[in-house]
Amino acid sequence: MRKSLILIFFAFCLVSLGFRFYIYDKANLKPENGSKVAFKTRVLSEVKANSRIQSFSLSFKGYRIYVNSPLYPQISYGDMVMAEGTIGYKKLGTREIIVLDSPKIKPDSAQFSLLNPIYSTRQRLIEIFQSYLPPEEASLLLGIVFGVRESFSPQFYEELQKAGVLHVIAASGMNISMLGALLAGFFGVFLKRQMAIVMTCIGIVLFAALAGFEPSIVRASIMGLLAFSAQILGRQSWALLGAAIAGFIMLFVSPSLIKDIGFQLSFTATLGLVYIPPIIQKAIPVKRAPMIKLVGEDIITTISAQISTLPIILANFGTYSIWSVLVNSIVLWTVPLLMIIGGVTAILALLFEPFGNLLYLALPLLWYFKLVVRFFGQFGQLSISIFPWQIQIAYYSFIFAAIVWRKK
Amino acid sequence: MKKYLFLSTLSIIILSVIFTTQYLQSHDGKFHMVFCDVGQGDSIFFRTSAGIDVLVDGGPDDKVLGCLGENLPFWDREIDMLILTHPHADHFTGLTYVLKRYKVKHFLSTGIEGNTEIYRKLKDLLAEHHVSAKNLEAGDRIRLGDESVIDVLWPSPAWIDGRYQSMSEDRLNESSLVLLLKYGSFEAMLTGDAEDLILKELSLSDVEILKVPHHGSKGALTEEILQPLRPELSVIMVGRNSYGHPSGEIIDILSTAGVKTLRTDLDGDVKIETDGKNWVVKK
Repeated sequence: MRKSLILIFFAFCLVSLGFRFYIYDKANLKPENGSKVAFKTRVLSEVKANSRIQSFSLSFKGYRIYVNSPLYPQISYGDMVMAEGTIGYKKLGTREIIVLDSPKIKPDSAQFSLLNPIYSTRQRLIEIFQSYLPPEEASLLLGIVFGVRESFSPQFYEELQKAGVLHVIAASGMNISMLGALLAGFFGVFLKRQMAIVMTCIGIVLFAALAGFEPSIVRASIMGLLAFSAQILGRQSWALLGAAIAGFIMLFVSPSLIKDIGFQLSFTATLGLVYIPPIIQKAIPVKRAPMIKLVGEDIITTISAQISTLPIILANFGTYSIWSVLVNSIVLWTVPLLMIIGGVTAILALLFEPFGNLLYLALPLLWYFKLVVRFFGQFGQLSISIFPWQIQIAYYSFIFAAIVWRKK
Repeated sequence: MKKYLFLSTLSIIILSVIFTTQYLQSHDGKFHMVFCDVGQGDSIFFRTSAGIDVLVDGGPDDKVLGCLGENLPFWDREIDMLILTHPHADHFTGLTYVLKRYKVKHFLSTGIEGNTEIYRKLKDLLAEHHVSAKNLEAGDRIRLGDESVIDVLWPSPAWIDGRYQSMSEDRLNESSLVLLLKYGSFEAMLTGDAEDLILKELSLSDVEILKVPHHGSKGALTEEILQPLRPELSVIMVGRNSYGHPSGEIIDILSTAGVKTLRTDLDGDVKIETDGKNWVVKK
């Protein structure tokens, strides 16, 4: 009975999603090359500035449009802006991106929003972290705890990519589950159960806004909200359902997300983390020696995420960090600790700034992380020029077969 | 639980060991000077024996932050003085990043302003962070606590009065501050982008270290200039560029004169340490 209900629900979702895609496709909203556009939107991407320009992306009809505008007027994350310009298409490696040529961007500060306090809090947190920690350490911690990326220097960012640990600076599932546990524990002390759950959910939504509504954080938040509101945290059998619902909501609201690399990576990695470790454990029975246990789980996690995302990474970036399994297995253990130190300090320092001194506790871990990244970041990456979609399909069919094999 | 206790204890031990070493290093009573490798641009940091931090120019981007992070103790987020030799982007863009991350007390420049957007940003940031600003001219002397002083050799008040109005963007190099840094008998000459044309107007004397003017551009130095300076070490601050910096001519002049030359593009950061009598290049 229950199973068939779920099946009907799934079928309904699929049909309505198909319908949504049909409408979306028919409207053919893709902005035309060379067309002049003017629109109002909120800047929900990092704003990077150099000595001549500031770069950011804007969302227009569900498409991501990249903008390089003059330094003035100054744009910052969360601003409501009036954007005008000409649509253009540009090749970036193997990808094609949409850009706004000769852009005119005007901030519309009169716009009132409930989220404004969130954006100023975000700015405040960046300032606090940067005023206590050295530049690179501050960027790293901000990335790990909040997914804030605009403060990275291009070199350090590249080193993270080459070492294969760029994913740690994207806020995602781990941030949400730790935040959820923290908030639920905190509110549980003095609130009724239902109230505590509601407050936790509000906290998760606020965090998603703070972290910048990237696809990975939106996915994790929806799954987190489902998990917390249904009190089903930790039950892996719900992962597929949770991911499916999150994917459904996101695609229904914004169908073009299906082409977004962050979206693809986030979902494949999530499912990979749930379904691939049992296969590895079945195929290679790892001896449960204490030393292996210490990093063994991180190795399996890393390998699982890599197996599930490899085709997407190769097809879009054409590079693969050969060191990533090794690097991840020796640095990943620091991530939850850094999240705790960074997260707790952030809350305390917002209330009373001198608590920011607690950030120094994170320094040894950050140094260690940086040292490892710096060492492996100097070596090259594996490069591939073309990766046909037929191979991708074959690859995922094979993984699917392996999952089915494991279940038998 | 045991694991976390162990990790936190270890972390505190590491922190205190590094704190102690960095504290001792930064209070060793010596004068430290770093020519930061910031690519194609200038940025020179020094910390006097009295612990006063000075940054002369900030380079073309945020690379200067890495250099400061490495050369300041990890808890030190204060810089006493920023000096801008002249308002060209390859000398001050990095200062905008420094102003956002460090508490800066003073900003010193010639007072000649640039008219680019990024210069406007620098001005906005200085105002926003309430940094006191002062103008320098030849004859000024900045005392840095102990025996360290900076003498300003250029631009002269007369030159500023005469040229101020008609300063075009490409002639801003001529307005560049020329500074003579002294600590005991140690002297270093920081030339910014002021080339031969300007330097030959000055009365020059023996120095230990010369920052080669204008990234080693053609015509930046001549044998006549080098004669009275007799530097033991010259530093060329240069990165990948399309101007042909440093020019072969300059390198020839320096090697003919027997001056040891270090380049930030090949040698990275150039660190100098002195007690006021002897000095060494630190690896």
